[in-house]
Amino acid sequence: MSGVELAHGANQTSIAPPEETWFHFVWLLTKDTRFPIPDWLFLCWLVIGGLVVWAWWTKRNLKPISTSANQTVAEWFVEAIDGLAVSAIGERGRAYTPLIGTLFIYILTLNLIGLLPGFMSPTSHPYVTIGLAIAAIASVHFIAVKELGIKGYLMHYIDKPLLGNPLTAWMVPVTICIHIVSEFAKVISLSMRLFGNIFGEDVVLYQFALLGLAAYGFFRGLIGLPPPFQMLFPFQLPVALLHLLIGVVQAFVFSLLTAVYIGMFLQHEED
Amino acid sequence: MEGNAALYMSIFGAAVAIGLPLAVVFAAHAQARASIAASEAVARQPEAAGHVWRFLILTLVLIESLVIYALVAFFILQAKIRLP
Repeated sequence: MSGVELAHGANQTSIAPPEETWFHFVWLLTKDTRFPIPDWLFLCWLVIGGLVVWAWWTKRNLKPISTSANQTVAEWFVEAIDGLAVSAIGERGRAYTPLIGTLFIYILTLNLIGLLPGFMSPTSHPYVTIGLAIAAIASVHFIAVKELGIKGYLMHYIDKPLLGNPLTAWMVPVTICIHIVSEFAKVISLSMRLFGNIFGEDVVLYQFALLGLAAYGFFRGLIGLPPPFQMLFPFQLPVALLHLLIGVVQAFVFSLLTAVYIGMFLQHEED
Repeated sequence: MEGNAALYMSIFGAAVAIGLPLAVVFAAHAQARASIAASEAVARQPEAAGHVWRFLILTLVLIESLVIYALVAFFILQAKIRLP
C-alpha cells in the first residue's frame, strides 16, 4: 500500500483495514460474515480488555502507602486527572473524574499502541474517533440534563440577555439554531482533530520509513550491503518521538475539551 | 472530458489544493501570537505558569479547530475531483 493510497483511504466508506497488522487474521476470518471485525475494532477491544485487567489488578493490590511503581503511576494518573477536572469544571467536577480519566487513558493507549511493531493506532481510523466524540458529547449532554434538569438544560440554548430587550428578542431563534449547530460542530472538531493528528503522523512515519528503505536500496547498489542492513537508515525514529508527544497531547486535549464542555453547561446554574 | 469540464476541474483542484494550506498559514500565525503572549505572561509571572499553560492549550485547540473545519471541507471536496 503506498502513501497515496493510504491518504485516499481516509475518505472511503469501507471499513477494510490495512494489511500490515498482526491482527489481520481476524478480518480475514470475519469479513464475509454478517458482523465483520476489522483490525482496528479488534485492537480497541484488546486495549479495553488490557486496561480493565490492569485497573482490576491495581485495585486488588492497593496499599495505604504506595510501594510498587504500578500503584505510584496509577496514583499520579488519578491525581493529575482529578486536578484537570477540578480546574476545568470547578469543585463539582470531582464527580466526573472517572469519565474524563477513562477518556484520557483509553485514547492515550490507542494513540501510542501504533508505535509497537505489528500494531496500528485505531484512532487513525475516522470511525473510531467519531464514535469516541459522539460518546463524549452524549455524556456531556446527559450530565447537563442530570445536573440542571430538563428545564435548565433547555434554558442553556436561550441567551437570557437577548430576551430582556424587545429590540433583540427576535434574535433568540437564531441563537438557538447557532447553539444546535455548534453542538454538532463540537463532535466534528473533537473527532477530526484526533483523527487528523494521528493519521497524519502515521502517514509521515510511513513515508520516512520508505525513505530509509530507499536510502538502503541506493547504498546496496553502490557498495553491496546485504539485506540485514535494511534497518541501517531509521529515518522514522525522530518522527516516532514526535508521535509520542502528539499522542499524549491529543489525548490530553480530548479529555480537557470534554471537561470544558461539561463546565460550560454547569456554569449556567451559577449565573 | 470536455474542454470546459477539464478547465473547471483543474481550477477546482487548484482551489482545493490551496485552501487547506491557506488556513494552515493563518492558523499558524495565530497560534504563534498566542504562544508569544503566553510565554511573555509566564516570563512576567512564573508562579501563574500552570493557569497560563491551560489557557494556552485551550486557545491553541480552538484555533486548531478552525483548521480542522478546513480539513473536513478538504476531505469532502477532494473526493469530488474527477480525473479525466
